[in-house]
Amino acid sequence: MFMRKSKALVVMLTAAMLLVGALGAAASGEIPSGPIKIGFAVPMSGTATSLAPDAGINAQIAVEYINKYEGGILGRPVQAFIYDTKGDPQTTVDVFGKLIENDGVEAVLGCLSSSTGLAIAPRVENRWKIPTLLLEATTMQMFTTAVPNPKYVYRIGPDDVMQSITHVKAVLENKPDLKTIALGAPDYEWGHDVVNSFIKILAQFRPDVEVVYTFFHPFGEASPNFTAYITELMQRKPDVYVGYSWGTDGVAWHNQAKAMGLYGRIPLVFDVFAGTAKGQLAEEGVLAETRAGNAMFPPHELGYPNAKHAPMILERVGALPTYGMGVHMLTGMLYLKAAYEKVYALTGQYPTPEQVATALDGLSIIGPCGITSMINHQSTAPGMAVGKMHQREDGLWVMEDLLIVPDYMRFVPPWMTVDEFIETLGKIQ
Amino acid sequence: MLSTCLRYVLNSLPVVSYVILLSFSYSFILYICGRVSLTFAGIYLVGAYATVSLGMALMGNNMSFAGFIGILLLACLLGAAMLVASYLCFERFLKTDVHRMVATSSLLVASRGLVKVIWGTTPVTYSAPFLSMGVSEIAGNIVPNYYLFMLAVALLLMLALSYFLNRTCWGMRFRASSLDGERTMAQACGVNQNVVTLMTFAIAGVLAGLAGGLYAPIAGAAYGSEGNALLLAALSVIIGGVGSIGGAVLAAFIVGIARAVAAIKMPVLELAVPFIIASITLMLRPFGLWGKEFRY
Amino acid sequence: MGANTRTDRMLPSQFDDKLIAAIGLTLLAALIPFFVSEYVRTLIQRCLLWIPPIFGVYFIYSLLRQVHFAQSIFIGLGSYIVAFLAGKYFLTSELLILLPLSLLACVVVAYVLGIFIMRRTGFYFAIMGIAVTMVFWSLVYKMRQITGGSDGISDIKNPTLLGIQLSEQGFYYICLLISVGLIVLMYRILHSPFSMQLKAIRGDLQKAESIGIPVHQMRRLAFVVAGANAGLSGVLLAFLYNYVGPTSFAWEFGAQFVQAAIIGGVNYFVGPIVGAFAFVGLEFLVSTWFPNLWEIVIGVTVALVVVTVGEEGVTGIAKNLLGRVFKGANLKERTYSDGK
Repeated sequence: MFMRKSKALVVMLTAAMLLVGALGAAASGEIPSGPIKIGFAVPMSGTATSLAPDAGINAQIAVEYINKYEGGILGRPVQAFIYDTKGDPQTTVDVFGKLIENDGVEAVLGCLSSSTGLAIAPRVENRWKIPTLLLEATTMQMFTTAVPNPKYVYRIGPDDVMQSITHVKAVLENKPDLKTIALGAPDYEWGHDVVNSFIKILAQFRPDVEVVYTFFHPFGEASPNFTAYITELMQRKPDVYVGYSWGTDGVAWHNQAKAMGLYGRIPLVFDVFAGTAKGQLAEEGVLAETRAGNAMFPPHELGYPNAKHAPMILERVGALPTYGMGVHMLTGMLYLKAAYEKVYALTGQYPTPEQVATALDGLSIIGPCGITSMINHQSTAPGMAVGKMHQREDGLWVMEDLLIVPDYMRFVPPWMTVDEFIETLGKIQ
Repeated sequence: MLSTCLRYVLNSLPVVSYVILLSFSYSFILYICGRVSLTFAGIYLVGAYATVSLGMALMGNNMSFAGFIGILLLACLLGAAMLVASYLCFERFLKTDVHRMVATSSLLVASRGLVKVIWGTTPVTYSAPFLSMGVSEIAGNIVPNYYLFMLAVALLLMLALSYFLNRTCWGMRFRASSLDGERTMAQACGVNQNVVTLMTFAIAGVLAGLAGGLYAPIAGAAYGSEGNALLLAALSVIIGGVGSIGGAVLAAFIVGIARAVAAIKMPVLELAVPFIIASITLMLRPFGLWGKEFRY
Repeated sequence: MGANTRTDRMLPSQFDDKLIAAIGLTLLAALIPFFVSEYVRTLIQRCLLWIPPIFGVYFIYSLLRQVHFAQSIFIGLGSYIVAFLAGKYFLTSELLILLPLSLLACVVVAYVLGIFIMRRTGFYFAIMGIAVTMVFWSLVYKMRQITGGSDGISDIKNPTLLGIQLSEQGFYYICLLISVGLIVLMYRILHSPFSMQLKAIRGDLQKAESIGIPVHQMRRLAFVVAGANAGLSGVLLAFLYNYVGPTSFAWEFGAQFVQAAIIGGVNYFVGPIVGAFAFVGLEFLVSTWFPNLWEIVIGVTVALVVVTVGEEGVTGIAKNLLGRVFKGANLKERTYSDGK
């Protein structure tokens, strides 16, 4: 009897302790009230701005969209902290410090140019340990030499090799009989990287094609005169011209090339950024890349999430193609939301930064360009496709005959170096 | 060979024409009033954005040549008005050259911020005049007619100014003021210095506004282009010499052609070449290739 | 006897207050890391590292009345020496080697550049400074194989002192030490015969030449002093960010030091210190409240300071206000410079 009583007591005590423990655990797993702080580090002044127009506004729009139509992250509204990096790496480091150490944000989206990404990535990994989504910073150095074993740093935009493979395939598809090709790019690291990898990859597919002219024009000079390059280019008479000029450079290039009749004289022109800069670079029939969707992906008025997101951009920015900024921002926010919800669903606890960072890898979401996955810290960027520019009846530019290169041809396998991967490409065909 | 040389000249024409106007705008104020004023680069922005905005609002795609000239004239007037206003409200109170340099260059920074707030950072273009004029072929080189039009406008304006300064009574008053350090002598002889100063600023405003307006259809009106314009104009003044019309034209051609040649032959130097030429000029001929000794 | 007179000269009664204030401020800066977050410490560290290059601008401005836009050459030089030796081609991150080395490089480069640049005055001097900076910038930018082009060099190791790895806290004190040391050194230089000669040159070049002052040599040395200050800062800035890129060479970067010097006030010895803190503080506030308006705020601020108080700057305004509040206090006396 006594034994039974004491046993019952022990059971009851244990049960009570477990209950208290469970309640305690539940209390610590509770979602904190108040808004969730997300930081944005974007260029809003200096040279880089003209190349990433309205980055700040697009960050605001992405946050508004998440709060209005998606109910925030885990029910918490998102509070955005948007700071100006001036496109300068050292200022970017300051801005990240301010966001993380001063404002206490839980995650950061930022970095357009590779230099800013390279400056902050090692610090994020070693010091700040906060999930960080790089908007672009497409350099191959990022996950090979700068942060070889990333944990917190992810990239939304495509990397250089992914871009170049798509470009080469598109050129070969649209002009199978080409003999000569010319390439032009802005003179900074990205320009050199994409041109070099384009030439390398093209040599794998078609060793017989001759590169007749390669030039690198000054980068981000606000009102440049490209006539010298255009004349030289037309003198060489290539079958295909692939141009990587963008932002202010792109607008000046397009105006001057059009006036001098470049588009009529060269059989196939691939203006990678045609259609950006509020549609000013668009030219009927010219090949263009969607670059994680320059928001010209055809169903931009339909479906999830574009039906609600695209009108917000149209209203605030005035034009849809805004150099993918809006798309990058929204994709990043959706990734973060999915990661938070995944951790919460699995553990029942409010996630720590480390858990969010771990959950981000391998995550798939439906973004502005369809299903996007984060594989080995690199987003698949499915919107990166090449198509022909076409102006619709209502004046909006869209792309036709989209060519999407399958993912297995774009991802460098973990057991290969970039160069080894490029060498195998010719065999895939 | 000759055709290749000609090609470099033709390629450089847009830069040459706007640098002629812009650098003379700067050196005119420096020469006549003895004032360093960098506001001209802001006026360049005003001209560019005014032309693009007016062009798109008033004409859209229906391009008419007369309409474009009208818009350019409006841009010039706006530029003149704004430069005079800037002098009356702001620059008048700056005591020394160092003050003027620092204050006007910071105003430029502010104006770039203002452009960003109003037009955003995406460049805006109104390229209809440029595209509609077509191209001609000179010795096997394709050159848009608009480039020739630009050069003609710039050179004609320079000729007119030269006539005004050297052959008219008012021009004599300007020159008298420029030679007079403290300007008391010219004042004593009955030349109203206030009028001369205001007119100088107005003329400089016309030149800078026109430079922006003429160049905008080619490269677009862009956030940040004032810095580039400022540097090119300042370097040309150093190369050509202060207050010299011939120097302004010569320096603009040197800078423009050097850049066009470097772009093809030695791309590494394209951005640096104007700076190198200006540095060498400063070492060898401190007052410019065409300038006389000038102390301000 | 000599020693005694020297002490007398060093510590006149009115110098006392300033010495106490200086020691107090230094102690404050030394204690602050214990009370603030890491970010604020980094911010203060950046202010400290901005002070020497601003002092360079101040030195040229107050003694020669020239605007020195070319400080970024020396910042960049110091930074890239660190980037190569402590980063890309790792040899050493020993501060006792890197600091003297970059000092030497900056002195040599500044002396050679001074031959060309310091012969010019006024607008020509300013543009020449910008031109040379641009040439350096494009060299660094275009030599991509060595310098990494626009991507810069990012794998800079943390600094060591006598072989001991410095903690972030330790590095803060190194920065403080060097910054304060340079300020004291500048104070000595500004009160030396060398500065008097420079002032004589500013007053009248011909007269100065005729009384036997080697005019151009002196002006060149002034340029070297300014450049050496910036070079030391460049070394520490590279370690602070563990990153160096061509923006260190951009003339816009050098122009920021001019803006900061103007905001601080070029009539006062403390002007550069106030300017550094005011500029970085302003940047912090604007980026928090109006992230889109940075250019308008800084441009209008500098223009207004120049047009309203001229060379007095924030320091002058603060002194006036303080002088009004504490009527008895002797605050109006200028620490340095004779104004016009």
